[in-house]
Amino acid sequence: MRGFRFVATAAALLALASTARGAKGKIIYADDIDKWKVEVFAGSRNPGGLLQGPVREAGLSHAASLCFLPTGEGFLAADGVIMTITKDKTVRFFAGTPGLPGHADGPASQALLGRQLSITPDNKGGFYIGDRSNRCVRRLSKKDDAWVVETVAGDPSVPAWGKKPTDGTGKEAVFKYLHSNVAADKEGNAYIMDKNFLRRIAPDGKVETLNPGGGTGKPGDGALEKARFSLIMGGAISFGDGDTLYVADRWNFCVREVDLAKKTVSTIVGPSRGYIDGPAKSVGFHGGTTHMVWDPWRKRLYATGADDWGLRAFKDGQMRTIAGGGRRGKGTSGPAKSAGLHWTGVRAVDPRPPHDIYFSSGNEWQGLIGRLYKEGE
Amino acid sequence: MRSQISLVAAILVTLIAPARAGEPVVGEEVTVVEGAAVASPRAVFAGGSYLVIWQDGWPGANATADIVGVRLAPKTLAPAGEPFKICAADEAQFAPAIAAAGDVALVAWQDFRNGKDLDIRAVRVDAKTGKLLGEEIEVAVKAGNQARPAVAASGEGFLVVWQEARGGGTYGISGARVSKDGKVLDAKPVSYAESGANPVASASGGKYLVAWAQKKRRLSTSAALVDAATGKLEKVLGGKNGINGPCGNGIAIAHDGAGNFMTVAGRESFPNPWGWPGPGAVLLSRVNAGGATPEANLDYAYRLNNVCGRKVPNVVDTATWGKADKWHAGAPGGFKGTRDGLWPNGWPGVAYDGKGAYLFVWVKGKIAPDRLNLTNLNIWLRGMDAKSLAVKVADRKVAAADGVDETRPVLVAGPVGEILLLYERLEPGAARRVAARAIGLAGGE
Repeated sequence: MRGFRFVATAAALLALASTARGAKGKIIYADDIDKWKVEVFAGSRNPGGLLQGPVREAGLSHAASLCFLPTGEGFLAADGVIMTITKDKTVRFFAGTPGLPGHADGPASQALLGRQLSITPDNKGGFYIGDRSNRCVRRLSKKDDAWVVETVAGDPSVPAWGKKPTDGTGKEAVFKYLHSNVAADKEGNAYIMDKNFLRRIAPDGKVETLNPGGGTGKPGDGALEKARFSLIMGGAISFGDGDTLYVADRWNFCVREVDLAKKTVSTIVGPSRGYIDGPAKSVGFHGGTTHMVWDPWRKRLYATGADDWGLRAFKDGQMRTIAGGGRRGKGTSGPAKSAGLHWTGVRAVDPRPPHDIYFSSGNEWQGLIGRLYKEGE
Repeated sequence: MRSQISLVAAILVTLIAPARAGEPVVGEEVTVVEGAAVASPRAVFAGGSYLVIWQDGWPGANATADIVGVRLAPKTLAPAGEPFKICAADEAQFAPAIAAAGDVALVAWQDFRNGKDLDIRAVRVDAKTGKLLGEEIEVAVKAGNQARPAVAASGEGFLVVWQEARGGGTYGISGARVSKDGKVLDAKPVSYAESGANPVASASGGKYLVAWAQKKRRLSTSAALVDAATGKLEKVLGGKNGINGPCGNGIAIAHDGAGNFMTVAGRESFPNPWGWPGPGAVLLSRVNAGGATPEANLDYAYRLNNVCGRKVPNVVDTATWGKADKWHAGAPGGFKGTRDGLWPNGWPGVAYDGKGAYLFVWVKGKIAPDRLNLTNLNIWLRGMDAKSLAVKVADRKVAAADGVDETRPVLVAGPVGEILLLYERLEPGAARRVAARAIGLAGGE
């Protein structure tokens, strides 16, 4: 026990030291940062868990994933439920049973979902749900005018402990631990990082590992088949333009670019530690790269580190801070530069103009979803 | 090795031993209602029977939920008549609460009939017949969310409390008295706290105790005494951590009829393969007549540091890590298993046994092999002396069917010598029931 405590203390000291390094990081603000503002978009300071109602009074609990449709509706994955934000800014339960996490397929109103979820639109008007708690990928789709949840791949009733990630169709496939969110391509395939293996799930449930010769390890550029990543308890993926898939490679402190057509992987940002803006190769992340969203309208990649104080954008080979960044920032509304962000996670970009950016954060932002917008747009 | 064998033997005895002489006798399970989306059962004993209410339906988009009730006979829990609708308006009526003043019960719920925000509505029910008395009562129906009601009855009338949106994305705790004849006596609701959620209430000794969840250093329980005659706030209780530092989920209250209250709150487990962020817990906190809160100032670290040796009597349950006996029980530790393989999961209930002790129930499960979820949730029971907090009824399972999750229990004081246990029973494939068991107390009729 004494040894364990020593290790824990040492880890805490290292974390503090890391914090100090992060504080000394290099911040380069975007040229137009003075035009950007933040405000609370959704959620409330409600310690009571999930709650429906007006968007600024809703209880969002641990809302971990957010997406918007071109229609203006938003969808949130939070603590065993999918919630919708209607066009008139009302939050409703959409699938899953509040307070009863679990695994059961069926009508959205009766389905049980795990506590740790991610959501992304598929190409047929429905959604893929990455169900980390149940080690499976699920689909939420409309059938005969009713929304239904089904498990596309993976079988939570069969323990995966001691097994390797296994390809197959539907229940044959074995997922180990879904470190990332789920993303989908234009053909309707879902992708997810499963124990540092990039898995592709076809609409019929066929699961294929794209880096079977890889797994956990240091970043090295080259063939996707042997690519190694280091996502543990965090990390993200996001589709870029064309066949590009970006991976927030958390513990390698970098962003990887996967070219799915050429089947190659390369490091495009980092690796380095600490909150460091600037040229691609010198960019660092504090606590590892954990959240990332591609903005196809502005052609830039938003990325946040686990312990970063800001939200940053990568474009033309340069990383720049577009919100927060200063440790003394405070407040949940006002100029983006002075926003009090910490443990920030970029979550989504609205597909409708002016393509506002949505994020979660810690401290004052707990339980809230923030909106980053450019004044006048 | 010997100690390990003793430990295993002790655990087995705990799990399989029937009630000892003088201990409560837990009756057979009775199905109150089955349905795809039955949930949130609550009950009161009044008019010679239990009036059990629940939410029937899912409260989300493209669905409806109603409030339904049925009367059950004590002891046998046989239904006294058919289930009856209490409210079946458009959209969702859900999360009901109930209390009775004499033979008149007040059922309150949160209502989403306008499709935009939550209101608090209520109706009186004749506990002897199950008939609705008068029109629906608009307790709190202004714009914005008024949610999660609780009801207490003082004998002369009722206090309905709820969490109310206060602007800027904040919630406070509000309440209003309702007379036995169904009039809202506080046209302007009384504010009991500027911030908080999930309130509960109980009445004893001319006072209401209102308790709620509040984000202090962690989610904790805060409470206040309210004058039953006027509905005015008398005293905010506790210290910097409220009355129950690290627990604020699923708060429940009971009282001894002499102005002394017992509160209990939980914390859910949230396992992951690396042992973070740790197991759940169930902690009690007393509010004595006059407002003394003996457990209020025990801080979080103190409680958890000492719970291994059971030095902190207000810890009803929390896990002790396996292979790390001296690590703080209940605290995140990066360990992979608990000593007995069980994980407390909050959702406590409490009731007074009429003879100086409180019975507690809560949910406890095993961790699944992948350490991502709890599985096989069961309901456990313990009895504790109201004054000394000595354990009078050792921990034991009271609802533990194979392959079934039993969760969200509620204890309801019944006729002399009996307590009702209500809970949700989740079958494989998500079929659901509201189930009940009568708990016969030693010396009861």
